Amino acid sequence: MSHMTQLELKIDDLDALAAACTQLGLELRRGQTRFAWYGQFLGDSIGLRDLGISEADYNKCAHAIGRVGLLGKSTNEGGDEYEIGVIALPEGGYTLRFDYWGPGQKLAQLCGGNQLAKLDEEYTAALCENQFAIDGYETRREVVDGHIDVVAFK
Amino acid sequence: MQEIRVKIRGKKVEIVTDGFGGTSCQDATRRLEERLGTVTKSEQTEDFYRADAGKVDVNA
Repeated sequence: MSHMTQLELKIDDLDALAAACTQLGLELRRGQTRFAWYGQFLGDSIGLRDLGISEADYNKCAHAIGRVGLLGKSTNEGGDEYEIGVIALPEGGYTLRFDYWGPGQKLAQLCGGNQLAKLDEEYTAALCENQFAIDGYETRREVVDGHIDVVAFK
Repeated sequence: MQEIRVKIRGKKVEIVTDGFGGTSCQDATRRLEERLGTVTKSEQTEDFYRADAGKVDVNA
Protein backbone atom coordinates (compact mmCIF):
# COMPACT_ATOMS: atom_id res chain seq x y z
CA MET A 1 0.00 0.00 0.00
CA SER A 2 1.16 3.49 -0.70
CA HIS A 3 0.14 6.66 1.10
CA MET A 4 0.62 10.02 -0.52
CA THR A 5 -0.02 13.51 0.66
CA GLN A 6 0.02 16.98 -0.80
CA LEU A 7 0.43 19.70 1.80
CA GLU A 8 -1.31 23.03 2.29
CA LEU A 9 2.07 24.63 2.87
CA LYS A 10 2.88 27.18 0.18
CA ILE A 11 6.52 27.87 -0.65
CA ASP A 12 7.53 31.18 -2.19
CA ASP A 13 11.22 31.31 -1.33
CA LEU A 14 13.46 28.44 -2.45
CA ASP A 15 16.46 29.83 -0.56
CA ALA A 16 14.47 29.66 2.67
CA LEU A 17 13.33 26.15 1.78
CA ALA A 18 16.95 25.11 1.17
CA ALA A 19 17.95 26.54 4.55
CA ALA A 20 15.08 24.69 6.23
CA CYS A 21 16.17 21.44 4.61
CA THR A 22 19.73 21.89 5.85
CA GLN A 23 18.47 22.28 9.43
CA LEU A 24 16.81 18.85 9.19
CA GLY A 25 19.54 16.86 7.43
CA LEU A 26 17.91 17.21 4.02
CA GLU A 27 18.98 18.86 0.79
CA LEU A 28 17.04 20.75 -1.87
CA ARG A 29 17.81 19.29 -5.29
CA ARG A 30 17.10 22.21 -7.57
CA GLY A 31 15.89 21.36 -11.05
CA GLN A 32 15.23 17.67 -10.35
CA THR A 33 11.96 17.00 -12.20
CA ARG A 34 10.94 13.62 -10.72
CA PHE A 35 10.92 12.53 -7.09
CA ALA A 36 11.22 8.97 -5.81
CA TRP A 37 8.12 7.24 -4.38
CA TYR A 38 6.37 3.87 -4.38
CA GLY A 39 5.86 4.15 -8.12
CA GLN A 40 2.17 3.42 -8.61
CA PHE A 41 -1.23 4.29 -7.21
CA LEU A 42 -2.96 1.77 -4.99
CA GLY A 43 -6.30 1.74 -3.23
CA ASP A 44 -5.59 4.82 -1.15
CA SER A 45 -5.03 7.13 -4.10
CA ILE A 46 -8.62 8.26 -4.61
CA GLY A 47 -7.98 11.68 -3.07
CA LEU A 48 -5.17 12.38 -5.49
CA ARG A 49 -7.30 11.36 -8.45
CA ASP A 50 -9.94 13.77 -7.17
CA LEU A 51 -7.31 16.49 -7.34
CA GLY A 52 -6.79 15.60 -10.98
CA ILE A 53 -3.36 14.09 -10.41
CA SER A 54 -2.65 11.05 -12.57
CA GLU A 55 -0.29 8.24 -11.66
CA ALA A 56 2.06 9.23 -14.48
CA ASP A 57 2.19 12.82 -13.27
CA TYR A 58 2.23 12.13 -9.55
CA ASN A 59 5.99 12.41 -9.11
CA LYS A 60 6.60 15.26 -11.57
CA CYS A 61 8.11 18.20 -9.73
CA ALA A 62 10.10 21.39 -10.20
CA HIS A 63 12.64 20.44 -7.51
CA ALA A 64 13.07 17.61 -5.05
CA ILE A 65 14.11 17.19 -1.44
CA GLY A 66 16.02 14.17 -0.17
CA ARG A 67 18.17 13.01 2.69
CA VAL A 68 21.68 14.42 2.42
CA GLY A 69 23.95 12.31 0.23
CA LEU A 70 21.37 9.61 -0.48
CA LEU A 71 20.15 9.21 -4.05
CA GLY A 72 16.39 8.90 -4.36
CA LYS A 73 15.06 5.71 -5.93
CA SER A 74 11.45 4.55 -6.24
CA THR A 75 10.24 1.15 -5.06
CA ASN A 76 9.17 0.12 -8.58
CA GLU A 77 12.77 0.74 -9.66
CA GLY A 78 14.11 -1.48 -6.90
CA GLY A 79 14.90 1.33 -4.47
CA ASP A 80 13.70 2.42 -1.05
CA GLU A 81 14.95 5.98 -0.74
CA TYR A 82 12.02 8.32 -1.25
CA GLU A 83 12.03 12.06 -1.84
CA ILE A 84 9.70 15.02 -1.37
CA GLY A 85 8.50 16.73 -4.52
CA VAL A 86 8.45 20.52 -4.73
CA ILE A 87 5.45 21.10 -6.97
CA ALA A 88 4.95 24.35 -8.90
CA LEU A 89 1.49 25.85 -8.43
CA PRO A 90 -0.42 27.47 -11.33
CA GLU A 91 -0.83 30.68 -9.32
CA GLY A 92 2.90 30.82 -8.52
CA GLY A 93 4.95 29.39 -5.69
CA TYR A 94 5.21 25.74 -4.75
CA THR A 95 3.71 23.11 -2.54
CA LEU A 96 5.14 19.82 -1.31
CA ARG A 97 4.05 16.28 -2.13
CA PHE A 98 5.43 12.95 -0.97
CA ASP A 99 4.69 9.29 -0.36
CA TYR A 100 4.91 8.75 3.38
CA TRP A 101 4.37 5.00 3.44
CA GLY A 102 7.26 2.63 4.19
CA PRO A 103 10.54 4.29 3.14
CA GLY A 104 8.76 7.65 3.19
CA GLN A 105 8.72 7.43 6.98
CA LYS A 106 12.45 8.18 6.99
CA LEU A 107 11.53 11.60 5.62
CA ALA A 108 8.50 12.00 7.87
CA GLN A 109 10.59 11.31 10.98
CA LEU A 110 13.10 14.01 10.04
CA CYS A 111 10.34 16.47 9.20
CA GLY A 112 8.01 16.07 12.18
CA GLY A 113 5.44 13.66 10.80
CA ASN A 114 3.40 13.07 7.68
CA GLN A 115 2.39 16.73 7.45
CA LEU A 116 6.08 17.76 7.58
CA ALA A 117 5.38 20.12 10.47
CA LYS A 118 9.05 20.64 11.36
CA LEU A 119 9.94 21.45 7.78
CA ASP A 120 7.06 23.93 7.75
CA GLU A 121 8.34 25.62 10.93
CA GLU A 122 11.94 25.63 9.73
CA TYR A 123 10.83 27.20 6.46
CA THR A 124 8.96 29.94 8.30
CA ALA A 125 11.96 30.54 10.57
CA ALA A 126 14.30 30.79 7.57
CA LEU A 127 11.92 33.25 5.89
CA CYS A 128 12.02 35.42 9.01
CA GLU A 129 15.80 35.25 9.28
CA ASN A 130 16.21 36.21 5.61
CA GLN A 131 13.89 39.19 5.97
CA PHE A 132 15.50 40.31 9.22
CA ALA A 133 18.95 40.17 7.58
CA ILE A 134 17.64 42.38 4.75
CA ASP A 135 16.28 44.81 7.34
CA GLY A 136 19.59 44.96 9.21
CA TYR A 137 18.74 42.94 12.30
CA GLU A 138 20.84 40.35 14.07
CA THR A 139 18.93 37.20 14.97
CA ARG A 140 19.05 34.26 17.33
CA ARG A 141 16.83 31.22 17.74
CA GLU A 142 15.23 29.90 20.88
CA VAL A 143 13.39 26.59 21.23
CA VAL A 144 10.24 26.93 23.34
CA ASP A 145 8.18 23.78 24.02
CA GLY A 146 9.69 22.17 20.94
CA HIS A 147 8.81 25.11 18.71
CA ILE A 148 10.98 27.86 17.24
CA ASP A 149 11.15 31.49 18.31
CA VAL A 150 13.18 33.74 16.03
CA VAL A 151 14.38 36.80 17.93
CA ALA A 152 15.63 39.81 15.96
CA PHE A 153 17.34 42.75 17.59
CA LYS A 154 19.37 45.87 16.92
CA MET B 1 17.27 48.06 22.06
CA GLN B 2 14.57 47.13 19.54
CA GLU B 3 13.48 43.50 19.55
CA ILE B 4 11.08 41.51 17.37
CA ARG B 5 10.19 38.00 18.52
CA VAL B 6 8.49 35.66 16.03
CA LYS B 7 6.82 32.71 17.77
CA ILE B 8 6.29 29.89 15.27
CA ARG B 9 3.71 27.40 16.49
CA GLY B 10 2.79 25.16 13.60
CA LYS B 11 0.75 27.23 11.16
CA LYS B 12 0.23 30.01 13.68
CA VAL B 13 2.81 32.75 13.88
CA GLU B 14 2.81 35.48 16.51
CA ILE B 15 4.96 38.56 16.28
CA VAL B 16 5.77 40.45 19.46
CA THR B 17 7.73 43.69 19.34
CA ASP B 18 9.44 45.63 22.06
CA GLY B 19 11.35 48.90 22.23
CA PHE B 20 9.75 50.65 19.26
CA GLY B 21 8.28 54.12 19.43
CA GLY B 22 4.69 54.80 18.32
CA THR B 23 3.72 52.94 15.15
CA SER B 24 7.31 52.24 14.12
CA CYS B 25 6.89 48.60 15.20
CA GLN B 26 4.25 48.20 12.48
CA ASP B 27 6.65 49.65 9.95
CA ALA B 28 9.34 47.26 11.16
CA THR B 29 7.18 44.15 10.80
CA ARG B 30 5.16 45.06 7.70
CA ARG B 31 7.48 43.39 5.17
CA LEU B 32 7.83 40.35 7.40
CA GLU B 33 4.05 40.00 7.67
CA GLU B 34 3.76 40.30 3.88
CA ARG B 35 6.18 37.42 3.45
CA LEU B 36 4.61 35.22 6.12
CA GLY B 37 1.02 35.48 4.96
CA THR B 38 -2.34 37.04 5.63
CA VAL B 39 -2.77 38.90 8.88
CA THR B 40 -5.57 37.24 10.80
CA LYS B 41 -5.32 39.13 14.04
CA SER B 42 -3.73 42.38 14.99
CA GLU B 43 -3.57 43.33 18.60
CA GLN B 44 -1.58 46.02 20.31
CA THR B 45 -0.49 45.46 23.85
CA GLU B 46 -1.16 48.04 26.53
CA ASP B 47 2.38 49.24 26.00
CA PHE B 48 1.45 50.31 22.47
CA TYR B 49 -0.49 53.17 23.94
CA ARG B 50 2.61 54.08 25.88
CA ALA B 51 4.28 54.05 22.45
CA ASP B 52 6.74 51.22 22.82
CA ALA B 53 5.39 47.74 22.02
CA GLY B 54 3.00 45.77 19.80
CA LYS B 55 1.80 42.28 18.95
CA VAL B 56 0.53 40.77 15.70
CA ASP B 57 -0.65 37.26 14.77
CA VAL B 58 -0.36 35.99 11.21
CA ASN B 59 -0.93 32.75 9.37
CA ALA B 60 2.28 31.10 8.23
